[in-house]
Amino acid sequence: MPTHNDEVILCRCEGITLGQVRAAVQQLQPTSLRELKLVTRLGMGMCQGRVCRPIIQSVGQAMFQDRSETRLAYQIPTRPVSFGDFVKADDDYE
Amino acid sequence: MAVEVAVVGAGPAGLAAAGELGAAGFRVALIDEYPIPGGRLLGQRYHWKNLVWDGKQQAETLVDNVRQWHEVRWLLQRSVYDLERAPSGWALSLNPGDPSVVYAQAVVVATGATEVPIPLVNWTLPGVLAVGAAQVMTAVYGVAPGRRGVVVGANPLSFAIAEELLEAGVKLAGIVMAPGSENVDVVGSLDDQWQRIVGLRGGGAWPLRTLGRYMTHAWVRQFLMSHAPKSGVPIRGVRLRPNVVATAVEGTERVTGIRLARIADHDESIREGWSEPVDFVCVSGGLRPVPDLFRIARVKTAWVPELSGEVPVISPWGETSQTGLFAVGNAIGVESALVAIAQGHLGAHGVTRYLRGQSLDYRLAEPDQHRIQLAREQSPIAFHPKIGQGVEHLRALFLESLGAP
Amino acid sequence: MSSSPTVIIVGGGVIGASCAYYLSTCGIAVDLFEAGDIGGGTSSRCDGNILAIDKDPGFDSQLALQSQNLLADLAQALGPMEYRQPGSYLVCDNRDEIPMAQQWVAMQRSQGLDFSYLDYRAVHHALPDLAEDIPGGLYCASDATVNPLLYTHRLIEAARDQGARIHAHQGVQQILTTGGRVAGVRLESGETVLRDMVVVSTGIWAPRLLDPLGLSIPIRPRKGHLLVSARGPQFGGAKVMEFGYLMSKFGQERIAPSNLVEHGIALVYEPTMSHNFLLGSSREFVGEDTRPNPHVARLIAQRAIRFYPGMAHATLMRTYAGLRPFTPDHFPIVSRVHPMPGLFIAAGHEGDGIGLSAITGKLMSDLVLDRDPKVDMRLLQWDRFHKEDDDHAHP
Repeated sequence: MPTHNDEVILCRCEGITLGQVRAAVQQLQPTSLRELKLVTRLGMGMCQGRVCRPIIQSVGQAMFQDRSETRLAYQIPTRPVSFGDFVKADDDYE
Repeated sequence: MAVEVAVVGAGPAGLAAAGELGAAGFRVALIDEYPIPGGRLLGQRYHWKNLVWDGKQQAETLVDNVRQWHEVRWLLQRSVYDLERAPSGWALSLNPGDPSVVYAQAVVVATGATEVPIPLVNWTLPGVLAVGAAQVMTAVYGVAPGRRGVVVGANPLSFAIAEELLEAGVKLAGIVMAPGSENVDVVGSLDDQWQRIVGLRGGGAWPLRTLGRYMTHAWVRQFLMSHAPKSGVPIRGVRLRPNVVATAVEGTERVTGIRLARIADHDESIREGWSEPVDFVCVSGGLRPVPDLFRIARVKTAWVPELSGEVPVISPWGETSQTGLFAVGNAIGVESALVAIAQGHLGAHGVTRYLRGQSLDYRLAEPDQHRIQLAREQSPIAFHPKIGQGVEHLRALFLESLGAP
Repeated sequence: MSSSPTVIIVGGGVIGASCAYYLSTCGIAVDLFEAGDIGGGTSSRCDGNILAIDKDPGFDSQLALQSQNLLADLAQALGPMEYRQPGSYLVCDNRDEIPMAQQWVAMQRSQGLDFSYLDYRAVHHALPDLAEDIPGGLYCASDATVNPLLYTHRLIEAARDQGARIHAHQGVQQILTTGGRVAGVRLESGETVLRDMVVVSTGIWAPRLLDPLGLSIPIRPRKGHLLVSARGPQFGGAKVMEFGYLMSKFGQERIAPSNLVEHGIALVYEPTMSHNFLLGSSREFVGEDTRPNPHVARLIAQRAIRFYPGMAHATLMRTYAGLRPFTPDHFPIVSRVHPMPGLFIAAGHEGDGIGLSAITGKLMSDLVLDRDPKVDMRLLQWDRFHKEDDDHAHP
């Protein structure tokens, strides 16, 4: 298969390219997908992986094989919410 | 706001569920992020056995069926960003916060599936869009994404959008295959992609349908790949180009072209590269179920490739590992709208039993499950050639969980 | 003891990484074993503060200052880690806090630290987005911030360059002893690695390794939440905390709504180099679950909006939580373990792991090489917590 050019953007929100990911892997030697994410910012932008998760997972699969390590966590909020709206829910908290 | 059932997602599954629940007299909140209910139905316009499948019309019918029940409250243009247990059942946090929390005794999650993107060099240029976007633009708003485009990524959905675009009078340079490499392989090899296209059973898409039977043989696929012309094999007007791969989007301020390359069949290496002029590129990696709310709610999930991704482990009634939390539609496996609608009815029946304290013995779900299977068989589109295996696998996981503490 | 000590460091978070760096800088052969990813525990579930502003004058702040100075040097020597030094602010919630704030500044200045008190005009000039009723605050010029995980990685990178061997995804199951002294470790794989010295830098997991040796240390996991904003308006380029933070940290009386005190909520605003900001903070003992509690997260957001009304329009993108290793007197343990020659502990840095990592690594190299640390190590002794019960005298 044609190798993706290093220029190709993997994470659109943060503008992280394959080349940047390769450089980070070489320098910092992450040992899991979570760690790769944290040192490159892959998936840490506004979409929080909604768009790019399959791309990141495929990179994780290629680099770290072990499936259990390629599962990235989901945390609240599952959609962006303004801080103002976020706190409103506590007023109505049961 | 406190209701008996919250339905998250007003696509075909959610609408079907809300309609049934409304008819049963429950107080329902129907929540959807989009201002118009209908989910993926809105963008669908297919030809199928000489009938036209008009998704918007289908959606309107489902919506009308729900609107007749006044106990169903519509909460459109609101996202659910948290789903957690509450003393009375469940608490759903909404954004915008109006209301900010919905309390429900039971929840039906019908959040559907989302697109899998295909990264290409320069794919952030204006003019690159996903299939769903192209469908909404053309079918919902009547806007063509461009004058001449190309669809990158071969799967039943991309075939559907290609047909829709052609029908809308948009020129296409055909469907080309998605690239992959050792590091970024979102949709699999060319062979994987081919296998998904030939899962398209009906749709009158002969010769694909006939070929489909032969395509299970690897040598047939390879023969076609090496002998198909560069310009593609015309199938109902859509040029399927099985040995041409997209490598980059071209343009400086917006899309002006697509860079393509011929793939050698045996080792998938690039042979030649050239450009073709297009003003939009539709990337199609298929759909994947959205597991976000399930993960947040601590529902047990499983990775099932035949269902296109991560799905909750559900009982035959659609109940997840969390009591009172049900799941239906594309969120439990990417299939057609007909299947989603049938699942919506099943989920509603399950919730009804749950709320009335009736038995949720999974064997009692057989008739509803049978209806879902019929819908599956009647569907023109199967998003994965081995969907039946996926369904079985999920059922096996559920039975396994019964044994677990 | 061999002439050239060989050391095993257990735990590859920021503390272990710092120890590996400083020990390898001194030519010591280091093997670092980390059960998961480098920095994969607490060091990747925190913010990046390097503070002196909240330290008690005296030993506390001297230790912090030394560490800050070392870190400033590291920022030059190591690869990029988003280090910057904009100083930090403490802001007062109400007038009752003002005299304490002024006192705090006076105490710190008398020790030679660069603190300044900010009256109403000054604090609103420095921080224009603050709520109108904030009466005043203070500023500490030496405070800095860093990206904690990148920093941990840079320490490891440099340690590796200096000959340290780093073993990720190889956890230590047990510390081995023979004749009452350290002999090495047994890994989770079953393999044994024999060395003269072992440094335990596993933070909240330190008791797990030490209990079987009959060594008890009172480190407990204390959960802290963080909220992450999306890119957009920031509210100033320096870290801002509420003065009440000090009360929360030291268990003193603080005038605030009871639900805030219950979860140890106090404003912490930290702008990042990714053009977003982190919000904290909370402190509670709730076991080892790192899943964010939405109720606590909402209290943090509420507190932030109280100080920065404009934040109501900023966007929350994600939440996370970390478990910090708490000790009863809020000082870490950086110590030889006398009853077990060859055993050292560097753990228990709750809330100050990043800030005190550099001085911890340096002190550990002093301890291992038996050099004068030039710091009163009695306050960092492993057994200081029940000294009354201790029958054995220390040299």
